[in-house]
Amino acid sequence: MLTRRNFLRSSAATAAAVAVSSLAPTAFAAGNPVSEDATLESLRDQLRTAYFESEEFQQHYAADPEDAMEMLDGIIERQISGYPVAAAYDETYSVSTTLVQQLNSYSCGPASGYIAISGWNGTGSISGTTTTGKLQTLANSMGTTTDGTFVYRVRNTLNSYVSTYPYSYYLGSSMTQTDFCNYLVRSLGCSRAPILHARTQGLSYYNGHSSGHYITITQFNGTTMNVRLNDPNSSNTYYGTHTVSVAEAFAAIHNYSDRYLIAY
Amino acid sequence: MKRFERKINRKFFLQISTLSVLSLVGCAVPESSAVASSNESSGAASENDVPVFPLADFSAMDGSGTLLAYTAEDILPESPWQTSWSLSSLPVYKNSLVSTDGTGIPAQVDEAAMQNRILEKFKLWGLSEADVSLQADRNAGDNTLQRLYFNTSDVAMEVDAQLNVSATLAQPISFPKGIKGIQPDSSYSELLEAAQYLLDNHKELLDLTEPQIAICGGGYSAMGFPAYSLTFRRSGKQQTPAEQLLAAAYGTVTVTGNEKGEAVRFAWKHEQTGEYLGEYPIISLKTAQELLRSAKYLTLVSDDSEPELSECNNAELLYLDTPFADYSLPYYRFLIRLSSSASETDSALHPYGIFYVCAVKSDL
Repeated sequence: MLTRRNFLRSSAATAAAVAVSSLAPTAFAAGNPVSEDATLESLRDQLRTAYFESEEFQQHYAADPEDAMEMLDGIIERQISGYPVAAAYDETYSVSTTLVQQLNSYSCGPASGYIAISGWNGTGSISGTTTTGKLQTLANSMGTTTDGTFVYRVRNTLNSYVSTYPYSYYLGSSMTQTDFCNYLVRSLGCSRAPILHARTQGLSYYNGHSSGHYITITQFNGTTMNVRLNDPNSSNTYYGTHTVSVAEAFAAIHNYSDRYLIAY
Repeated sequence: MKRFERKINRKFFLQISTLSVLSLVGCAVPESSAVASSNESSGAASENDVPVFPLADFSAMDGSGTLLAYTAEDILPESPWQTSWSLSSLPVYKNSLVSTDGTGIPAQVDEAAMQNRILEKFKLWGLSEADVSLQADRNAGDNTLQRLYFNTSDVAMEVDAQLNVSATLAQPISFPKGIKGIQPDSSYSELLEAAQYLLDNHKELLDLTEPQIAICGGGYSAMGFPAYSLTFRRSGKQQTPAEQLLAAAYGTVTVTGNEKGEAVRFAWKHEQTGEYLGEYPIISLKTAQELLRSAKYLTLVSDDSEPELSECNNAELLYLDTPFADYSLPYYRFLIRLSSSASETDSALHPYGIFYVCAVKSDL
């Protein structure tokens, strides 16, 4: 019988040979976001606990304990390697995305989601033969109306297209800039382009224009401390790829109430 | 006089000109509303000693609150309201799905209600509880339950924390030759044909009492054609005006198509399940227009868009369903043409902004 105690005592073995996608999608969801205070060992424990609670992992373990543990240790080490601490930010983390323009003034949620999904080459899974059709599919799934799209529905729809590294939302006003960087690096490192649920007046290229808006982050540069944004705005004044400082992107969700970062 | 206070830090979406007013005003309603919540009074309350209902708060929302159209009449109303209706009061409810953060997730996620809600719907496909294995999706940040879902060989269904349910069919419903179906560029009349076919042949899947076709939308997309939504709502000859307004806002089902125009997805909006607080006096359209011109409105439209408030004849009365409101209140929803400078296109399409004026009578 697999118990939590002997599960947590397990030692690391060789790298996993089993695909991450063989695990239940909820397995990662039980883990907590990484903070500066989290030690690597506590992270390992968090991840082990998350998998331990997964019914699918339990079944795997019951069938072949050695293989299950080998797989888990490999996954954990890969996960840990995706959680660099702030002091180690000297690299560029990016995903290759397809920039699209939203179909109308209120559908930035579906458009930013499409851009994010393109980051793992996942747009082929979206129903529709054209980009317009796929954007419409996402809008239907997200429940987008003329009043926009709720944060939780953007997140839910994104997660309906992934089996690993699911998205979560994090409140901007309660995070530090270091937390923000950690989320970006971790998410981009797993091909999950983060989405800013921003106030546009916080971004310099909006020149004070005020609105709520979803914008996809496609690159984090740890050397220059800049991020690259894919902005799907229906207005050509703001649409396109923009590079802004990390501080500016962070301010667009941190300095306002009820704004979020949607990231892995 | 008791007042319900708004959260001060969630109002910056308001037009600057209205900020100071709406932060204090809200919709004033009789004090008896508080009493009615416990004794379910059904009579119209007196107009004495009025507290204030807090208004909806869009500060967590996104988008510009605008539509593109040649004229305001291009946009089909969401509500069955008619100017000929003589309404002096409407029911007000507590919002049982109110969200206290900016995500839209209810403050109290009711997992049992979510299970019951999805159970109601998967019976439409002849499924029983034994046939499905519900999966839970929780947010890693706070472990909040976001949705329950399952997939079978016939249908993929999910219910979210706001109790909205969707079903995506493995075998979409195709339409007979001659009916274009549900496509992004389907015209109103083409959608009407598709809707009538569904009503005639697949009424049971709509799971509505006397379903009625309610195609809405009509704003033009970047592709240059109007976008409509094929929606059904419950109806009935005995429905009161208030029931008709509620049926248009809650419990509707929207059907969407795939690339072939086949009906592939059914999405049921949550029901109005909040506590009934009583009937409250409402203002006339004329009064709402005066409030609008006085800039006492809610909107997502940016304050640099210069609405032409003198032209405010395009209006409808509806229940504004949003998780960012403590109460379910009726509002007048206006479509107002924005100044030409707000439009970046050279076409004859004009931007129209959406503005809400609370319909519950105010004492101020």
